[in-house]
Amino acid sequence: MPVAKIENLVKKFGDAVAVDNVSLQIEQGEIFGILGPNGAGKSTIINVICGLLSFDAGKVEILGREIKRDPVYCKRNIGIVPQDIAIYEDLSAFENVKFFATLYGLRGMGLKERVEEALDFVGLKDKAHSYPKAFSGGMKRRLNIACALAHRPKLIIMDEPTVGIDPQSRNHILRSVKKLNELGCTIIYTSHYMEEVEEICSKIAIIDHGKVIAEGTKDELKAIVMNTNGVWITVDSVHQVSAERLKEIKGVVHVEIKDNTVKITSSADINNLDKIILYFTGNGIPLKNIESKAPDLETVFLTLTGRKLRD
Amino acid sequence: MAVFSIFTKELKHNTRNLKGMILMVLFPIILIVVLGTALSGMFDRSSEFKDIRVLYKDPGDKPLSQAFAEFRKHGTEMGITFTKTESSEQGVENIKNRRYTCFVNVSDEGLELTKTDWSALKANLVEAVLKTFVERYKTVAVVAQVNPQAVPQMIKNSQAGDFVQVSSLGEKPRPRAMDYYAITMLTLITLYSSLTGVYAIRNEKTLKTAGRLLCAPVGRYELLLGKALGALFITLIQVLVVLLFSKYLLKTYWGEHLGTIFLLVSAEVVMAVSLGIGVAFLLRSEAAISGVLNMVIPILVFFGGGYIPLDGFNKTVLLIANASPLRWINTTLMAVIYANDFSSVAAAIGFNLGLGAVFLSIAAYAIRREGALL
Repeated sequence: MPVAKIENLVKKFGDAVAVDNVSLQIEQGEIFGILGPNGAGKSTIINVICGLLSFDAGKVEILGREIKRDPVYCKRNIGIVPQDIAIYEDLSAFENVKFFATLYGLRGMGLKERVEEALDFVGLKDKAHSYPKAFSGGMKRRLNIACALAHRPKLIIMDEPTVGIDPQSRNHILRSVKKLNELGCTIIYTSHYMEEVEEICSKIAIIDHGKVIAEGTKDELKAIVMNTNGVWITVDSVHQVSAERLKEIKGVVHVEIKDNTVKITSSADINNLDKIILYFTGNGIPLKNIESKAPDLETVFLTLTGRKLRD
Repeated sequence: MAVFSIFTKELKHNTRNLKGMILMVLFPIILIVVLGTALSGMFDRSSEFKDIRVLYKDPGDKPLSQAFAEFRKHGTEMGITFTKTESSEQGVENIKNRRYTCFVNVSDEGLELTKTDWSALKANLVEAVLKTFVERYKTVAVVAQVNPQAVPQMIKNSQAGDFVQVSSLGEKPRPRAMDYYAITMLTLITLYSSLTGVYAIRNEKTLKTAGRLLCAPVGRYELLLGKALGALFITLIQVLVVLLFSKYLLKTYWGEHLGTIFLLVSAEVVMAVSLGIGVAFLLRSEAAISGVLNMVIPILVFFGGGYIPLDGFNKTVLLIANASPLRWINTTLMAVIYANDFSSVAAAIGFNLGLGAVFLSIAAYAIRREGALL
């Protein structure tokens, strides 16, 4: 039985279709990544699964029960880590986790143990009686996660949990997600950071304009773009480099210039490396480094939508 | 149980909110002390007889000379200063020059009192007391002709203060400034507990916690109930603190029915908190909410007599004032405290609870809407 099953989901806001006939199935033990640019419909799908938003058509099931028919059962088995930090600054870390846990029916000594367990899990046990106003952004993010864990949900939904935090806290959160998964939790993880999704997710759905444009494991998705090659060329200065001129070279499908690196994606069946190098040397642009890159999820997204994930 | 969790969380928020506590507890106490002290002159009866100087001309052989002599004797006991003049012209001139409060000329025609606008209040007081005294004197004179034995007893029964009681003040206790402002400031600040209602709802939006609450297996009505009860309870505690502080430390007079007083104020708390909750659902922008409340509350307070007593205003103002729930509470509190009059208690409580029910119904309807709290 899938932990979550979404069938032909449609959600409209007025005339705008935010989610367009989306079907997803999340199995027990998966870290299911939902990848897409801002405004793609990720958060709308999450809000529907959590019971925050109604929907216009389709079906959503949590652990075999329809959310419309049995919302309390469904909600009781979900832990939500919202995109925005949703904690109370005038309640201590312990009181925050405890309050949300009581809403899920936890009481007495069991409650205290679960709250301590959740705080320990996110590395805030020693800050249990401190107030979040004294916390760093990363610590607040971790407390935000702890508030979703104390009732031991079967499905944890994390909506962009690493937005705007330092690398150390980000790594801590990613390790926590993996650890939760090892403990048996099924996780839905949304992000527009391709690297994160690629690092932790066992299955990924790419969403754009409210539709699922690709779904599968990392390898399955990358197989979609196996017919392309990537070349990263580092130069002293990119001022003289023209993306338009490079695109005129036969086989080049995409050129991206960032800092001092020119990223060129070409069709795998055309060997054009000599022509690319000739462009640089012919225009008097000294090459510092040339690297061949295997396709990543960014390339997949680029190939499928014609634009970058963070455009 | 979710209701209890939300209720206790609201109590924690409010008790840790220093600004809110200062507004709801410290602020009314300071206002009672400041206004009660600064405006005590408006309520102080004894000041009415201070600095009253009467100039008079009385040859001593006129029909009312004896009566006027008696009046001077009693007037002196009341604190009025009398100065004799021999000339009417000089008397009138002195009044024009504001040297005396009024001029009394005892003549064959009776008593003539001359006064000017600048001392109208004090002169009117002298006039009223003088009229009463003369009327009583005439009555005694008539009785003396018919039944001379009754006169000594009549004179014995006459006391200086009688004139004042007859003329205006009556025997019922009147509030001092501190007593008046203890009532009006308590009920004024209770109206501001609508802000507690507003923040109970708005804070969840501001802190982005509303979504998390709605994702939990908690009904929307449970959420509303927990929040409303939390806001009501903390406000009732705050009101009780102010009430007891003013009674036992400021020694303000709250009458003999403290339970009824608290019941009346509680009804206003229900109305005010519900108003805040209702407005928080009706209006989405914080600026609009604060704009509406900052406009509505002072109007309700004014028509409730919270800033100044409305007794001297015309009928139209008093008619409009009846629409203010605060007016109902204030007048009923006055009636209970100073006249043991309970006739309007049920109406005042009913009116306030009714309004509260309307505002809560608006909130209950609005919370069903998708995104109402988001």
